[in-house]
Amino acid sequence: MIKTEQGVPGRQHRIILTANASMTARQMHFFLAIALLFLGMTATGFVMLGAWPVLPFAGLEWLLLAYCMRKTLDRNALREVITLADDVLIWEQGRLEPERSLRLQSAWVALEWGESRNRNHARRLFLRSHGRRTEIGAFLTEDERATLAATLTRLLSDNQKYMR
Amino acid sequence: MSASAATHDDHHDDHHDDHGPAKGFMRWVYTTNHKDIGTLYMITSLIMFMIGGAMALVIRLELFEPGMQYVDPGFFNQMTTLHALIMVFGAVMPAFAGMANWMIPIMIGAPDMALPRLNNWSFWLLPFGFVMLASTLFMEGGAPAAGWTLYPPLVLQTGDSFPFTIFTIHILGISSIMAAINIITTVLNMRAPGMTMMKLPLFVWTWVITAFLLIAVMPVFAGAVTMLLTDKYFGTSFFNAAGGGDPVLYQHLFWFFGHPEVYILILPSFGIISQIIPTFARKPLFGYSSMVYATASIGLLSFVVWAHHQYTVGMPIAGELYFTYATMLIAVPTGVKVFNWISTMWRGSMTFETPMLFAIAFVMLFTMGGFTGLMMSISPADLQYHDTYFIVAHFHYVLVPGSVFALMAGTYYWLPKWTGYMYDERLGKLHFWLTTISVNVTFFPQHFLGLAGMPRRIPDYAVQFAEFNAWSSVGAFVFGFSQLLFIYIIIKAVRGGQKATDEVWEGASEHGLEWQLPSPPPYHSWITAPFVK
Ligand code: HEM
Ligand SMILES: [Cu+2]
Repeated sequence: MIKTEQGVPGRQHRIILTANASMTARQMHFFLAIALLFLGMTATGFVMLGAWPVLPFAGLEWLLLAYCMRKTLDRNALREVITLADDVLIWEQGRLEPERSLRLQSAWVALEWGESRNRNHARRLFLRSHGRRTEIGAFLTEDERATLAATLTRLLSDNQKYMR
Repeated sequence: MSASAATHDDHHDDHHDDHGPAKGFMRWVYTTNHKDIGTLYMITSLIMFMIGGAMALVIRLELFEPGMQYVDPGFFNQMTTLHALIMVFGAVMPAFAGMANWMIPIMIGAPDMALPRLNNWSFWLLPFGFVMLASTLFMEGGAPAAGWTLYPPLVLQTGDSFPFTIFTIHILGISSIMAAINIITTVLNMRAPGMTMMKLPLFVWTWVITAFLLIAVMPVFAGAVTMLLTDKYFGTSFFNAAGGGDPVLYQHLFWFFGHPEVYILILPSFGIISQIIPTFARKPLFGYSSMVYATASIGLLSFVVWAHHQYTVGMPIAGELYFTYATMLIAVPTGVKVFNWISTMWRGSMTFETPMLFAIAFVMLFTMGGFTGLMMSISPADLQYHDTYFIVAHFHYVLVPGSVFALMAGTYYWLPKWTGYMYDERLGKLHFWLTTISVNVTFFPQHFLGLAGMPRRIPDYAVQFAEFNAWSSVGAFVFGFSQLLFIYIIIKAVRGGQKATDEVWEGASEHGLEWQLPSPPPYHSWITAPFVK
């Protein structure tokens, strides 16, 4: 998913890229609540009949389920933020906070398409500056990468115009 | 397997997620790749299918004629018990789990399962569990022999193998739970953009519901067998009337797990059949959303009908009535499904390749099993049927030409995708006819035996049952040996043959994302999600 935000027109832009995660935290909580309700009802019923050993198994299982879902959700929270402010371009990648980042002179930044990894994968998009390149939007679909490339190219050239 | 070995020669990039499979045996031990794990599951399942099948042949050999010929009654009972446990937990469930691993990420456009390391664990627990279960055959007192339902007090007479049996069940249960959690997490969280829940292929939908059933009932089974263990060794009396417990409580626990369990064995089959019929009828599936809702209602209903397995235990009349009506209700969503499959075929331009033959046989023969189920759901009638060969006929009709046929259909359907080679169609058809004819010769006469009063789980019988039993045994041996042909066909396709196209079946690319990938798909597929329209 690509989201664009604008600060001072023509000078400050921000593009936010998020990974393909088809479940929101709300949906996850809803699902876990249903599972808890189900397991809780059966376990309570059997405890009332005297079969209490069902309860710890049900509890442990629910905890494992919740842990696994939480972990997947966190992992899929990976995002990239590209900020264009005057003459710098800042690329950041991380989950809750930036874990990798890059600060470039926007005048020297070029976008470059690379070969796909494999015949079924999308072509890769790189930011290139001073002979070094960094892949961006690795979690996006091919269409999204194309959109990203077009947006970024447009913003960079606007930015150049303004700076001149 | 060549499925993934052949792929990665075309890369020239050192990025970490771009490597192909590691070399040698350790690749399989450490793998977290969903295709590798899927392959491992399916190979395990085939091996267990042959072992469980051999045990079935021991049973049918002894029952070929009246009188005691080959085995003693104790060993006979060990065979019936192990046959069921191995077929249910070793053959059918791992086969579905294998197909889920292989196909679900590909079908929803995800790069892998959500929790690949958990996936590795859930597979590798299985071999330990099965080795332990098999080792019980050599223990003092022999393998468990009280039937797969493990009813107390009988099961408490098991010898040294008792704790190992319980421990095996715990291990297999943990494995199933981990697989179920993985599948649910993957489908909820890893779908490609545009792949909404109501666009999911039915195989994926049926597996999501199956996984939910597994999560809901596994703790009950784990608790029940743990109580058996403490009753035997730690002086508790959960199921011991002398100590204030109740043996019937075990039956409620077991069947609260057991009835959803039989649906765990059939729902993914519904999914496979719903993938295959549209492809070979060259039409979209009729009534997609009603299929989803029917599957969900079968899943929900399966929690409230368990005591139809206990009609003879002395329930209050209100209980008998309730469970009769609730059970009969299941026929409604099941009927919706059968109707939709037939409507999908209606006026389609059908062709009859092996997967389609198995799918059509599934629809016809599974429905017969459903009908006998309906007969048994009527509690006053079930007093006659219960614990006779009629039950054996019922559940083998739903499980063999039901679950197992769906697995065979799915194997023929996806084998060219997995291996990159077409299987031998002529041999496939031969396998189909041998299997379908022999399965009916084996199980149809068992209806008559049951109605005439032959009890289940016995090594000897009165002479008036001789003829139908002889038929049944002959059918069983033909069925068993026909499966060697199945294995030969698979091995042949793995080793080479006519190259499969990406689409494999004419027009299949309209029926799912898996047909848009090459055959075989690269070791890592959909690293970049496709966009689903
Ligand atoms: C229309 C749907 C179905 C109905 C109404 C139904 C009904 C029943 C009933 C009433 C019994 C108990 C009979 C007795 O012990 O006296 C039974 C047994 C059984 N059913 Fe079904 N059934 C249906 C579908 C299935 C399916 C889809 C499966 C599995 C794939 C299945 C597997 C079994 C098994 C394994 C048993 C025997 C359990 C045992 O005692 O060892 N059934 N069924
Ligand atoms: Cu049942």
